[in-house]
Amino acid sequence: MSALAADLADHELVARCRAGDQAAWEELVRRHATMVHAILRGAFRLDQHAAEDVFQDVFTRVYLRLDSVRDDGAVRAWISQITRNAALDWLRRSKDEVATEEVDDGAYDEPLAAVDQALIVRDALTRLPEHQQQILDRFFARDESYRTIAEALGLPPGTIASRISRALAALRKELESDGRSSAATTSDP
Amino acid sequence: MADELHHEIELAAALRTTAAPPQAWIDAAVAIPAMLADLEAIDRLIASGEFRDAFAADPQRALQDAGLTPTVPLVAAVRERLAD
Repeated sequence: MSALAADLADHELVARCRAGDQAAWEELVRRHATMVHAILRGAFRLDQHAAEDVFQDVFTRVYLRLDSVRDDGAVRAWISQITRNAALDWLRRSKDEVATEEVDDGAYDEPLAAVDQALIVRDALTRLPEHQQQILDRFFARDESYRTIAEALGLPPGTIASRISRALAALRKELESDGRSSAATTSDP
Repeated sequence: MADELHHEIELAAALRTTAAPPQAWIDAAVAIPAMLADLEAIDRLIASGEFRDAFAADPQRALQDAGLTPTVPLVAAVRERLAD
């Protein structure tokens, strides 16, 4: 990945992608891949195989529609909407094949809102020190055991539980400093 | 104490929901511009009514019959061009 591309704002990346800059495209994909994945798996509950196909579909649409971005400052929301539409299209095609009921677009509003909140938590995680990001991501997102984490990070196994607890407290504090803690951890109004 | 535990469970769930996708998915998405380098070939293909009918019936088969490998990006690209 180009260090230069990593420093660019979304709208600058899109401008470079339009000009055929492959490093910018790579950065755009990397920057939004987690959001796309979370929407497909977390909100639409697509299985791994379907999610992989729709993930490629989403980025194909993004690539082919780069010239149609109306608001360069809202690239994230634009990609989110493309992801939602691609998932709904996939569900409709699947329903056609098995002749079941219509896909109800509104049925996904609540899980999509929950994913939005989860992404706020993920964003807060990126502001923690690297070692705390690593330990929380490995334990909660990758389901690694204490032993595996200890080996990977070169830490005594007996300290992992307390390190996770401290990292969670740091994450909670980070969210609270944003004034987002309660909103970020519940989908209720 | 119970509130704190509940809060931590929710944070953990949020991190699970936002796990990174497999690296292979990202690598494949990064390669999309190269895979779609020849958009004019796709446009030539969809200019044919016979191909459009075949694609509507079975996208993968239609692309194979046209001598192409029906990758997800290629199928998606044809759909995009047809929708334009």
